[in-house]
Amino acid sequence: MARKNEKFKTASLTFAQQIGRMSRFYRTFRATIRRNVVSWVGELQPSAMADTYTVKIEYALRKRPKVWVLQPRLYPQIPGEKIKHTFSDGSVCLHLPGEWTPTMYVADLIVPWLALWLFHYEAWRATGKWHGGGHEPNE
Amino acid sequence: MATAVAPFLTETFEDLLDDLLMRVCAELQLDDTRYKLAETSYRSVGKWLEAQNFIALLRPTIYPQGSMRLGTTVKPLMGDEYDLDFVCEFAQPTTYFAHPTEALDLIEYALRSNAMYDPMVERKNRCIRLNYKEKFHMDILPACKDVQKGDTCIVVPDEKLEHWTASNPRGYASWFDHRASLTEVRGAFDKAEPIPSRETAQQKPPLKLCIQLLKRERDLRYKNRPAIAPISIVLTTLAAQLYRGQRSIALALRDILSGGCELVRSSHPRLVVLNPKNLDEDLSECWDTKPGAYREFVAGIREFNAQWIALLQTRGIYKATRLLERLFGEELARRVVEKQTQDIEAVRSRNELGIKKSSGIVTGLIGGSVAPIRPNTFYGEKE
Repeated sequence: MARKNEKFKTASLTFAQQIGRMSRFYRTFRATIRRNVVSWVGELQPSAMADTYTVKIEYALRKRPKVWVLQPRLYPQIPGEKIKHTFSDGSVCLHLPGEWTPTMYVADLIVPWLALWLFHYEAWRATGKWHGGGHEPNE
Repeated sequence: MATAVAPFLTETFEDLLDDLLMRVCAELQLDDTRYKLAETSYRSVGKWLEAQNFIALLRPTIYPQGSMRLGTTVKPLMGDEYDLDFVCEFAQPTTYFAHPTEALDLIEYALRSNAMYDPMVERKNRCIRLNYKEKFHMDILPACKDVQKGDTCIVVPDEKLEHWTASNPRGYASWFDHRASLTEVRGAFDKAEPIPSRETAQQKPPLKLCIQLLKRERDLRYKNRPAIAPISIVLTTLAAQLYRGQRSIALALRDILSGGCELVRSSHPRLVVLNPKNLDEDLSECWDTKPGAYREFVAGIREFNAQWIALLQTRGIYKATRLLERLFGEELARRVVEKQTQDIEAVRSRNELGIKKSSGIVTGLIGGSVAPIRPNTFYGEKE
């Protein structure tokens, strides 16, 4: 673990780099920094037929970014069912460890994956089937 | 090299909806087996009739009419039959027959003299029907040239009314083809074929697709009361008259429905739908004897119009799906949304998917404002 962090430390991108790139690509995303954590809140509409979602991405330097959908609220297909590819705190699980590292931009990977997740979430609610691939650890 | 974005990856609501509607129509197409069966049956019956001396004397011309000719057939609901209509037009004027019913007698006699057709024959008011065991029937309408009106006008016997009634299916078909070609036709239309070669949904012009959707909605709306359902020729004529050449199926249907609502609002006591190529033929005459059916039609088109406006304004794939389910059937709507999603996933698996910077719309990798979606694995956590 220590070795892994060290490796990240040498190559990881700074907050300034992350915020700069995000603001260039996604104009609705507003960044705030508090206690070494940058939070972006912005809007994504994954398809012209889809809803527009307000999303929040929290990134503590060199940690895995945490992603939430704030509005509209996420609903399962059937009441009580777990929403596909989410953590117990309600945040969205977009990738396996290693697919994103702190040497990569949040704007380049996390946001596109989130848009794609939102698209599949809508299709899943529509059809009852998840077509976006991936693994559920329980399945 | 990618040159154009696939329709399911476009960035406008109407294009995405059109892609779904096109998929709905593709599902509504008669399958190859049924289409071929209809075509073979049509040819054999035609040959048999032409081979009978007493019919050959009248120099008949046999041609299809109705949805098979127009390219607007839809798969019937489970358990229902589909039909194929054709006209057996005699070169002689009506004076050849002492009574209109004789024309029906002649066709019936010709078919009954064939051992295979005999048990399938059913006499109807204006035609002789052949009931095939493969869940379809063929209506054969005897007709004479309308010598007074000329051109392609004909008269057909009406047994109940005991007279000849006006019609012009060939004139109607050319008028319809003209209306349908107000927008660019994507596929070739082979007029030389007795039954036009089968067009895929992608080859059909938007008007034909709109009519398929209208018919499907009608089939579901009147599923339990088919006797009062508006007949296909009325829906087809109204749609063709109200169509203004839009390329978008969704917008063409919007204008057809709102135009239809406007027409019923201004028509008293009822809307009259005439054959545009023979104004003596009231295609909607059955509403005279069924005022309840007309009231249902008015309520139905108003409701469909309101549902369509709601669909065009809705955002949320699942919300749009629910509306499509109500209109065209639950299973069908879900299937087409699923197919669209699978097609998008196929693009993702080729690493050709991107998102539009700024909005986040998932699209194809075209242009500088699109960021690629790198490979990832959606995951979760153990419960």
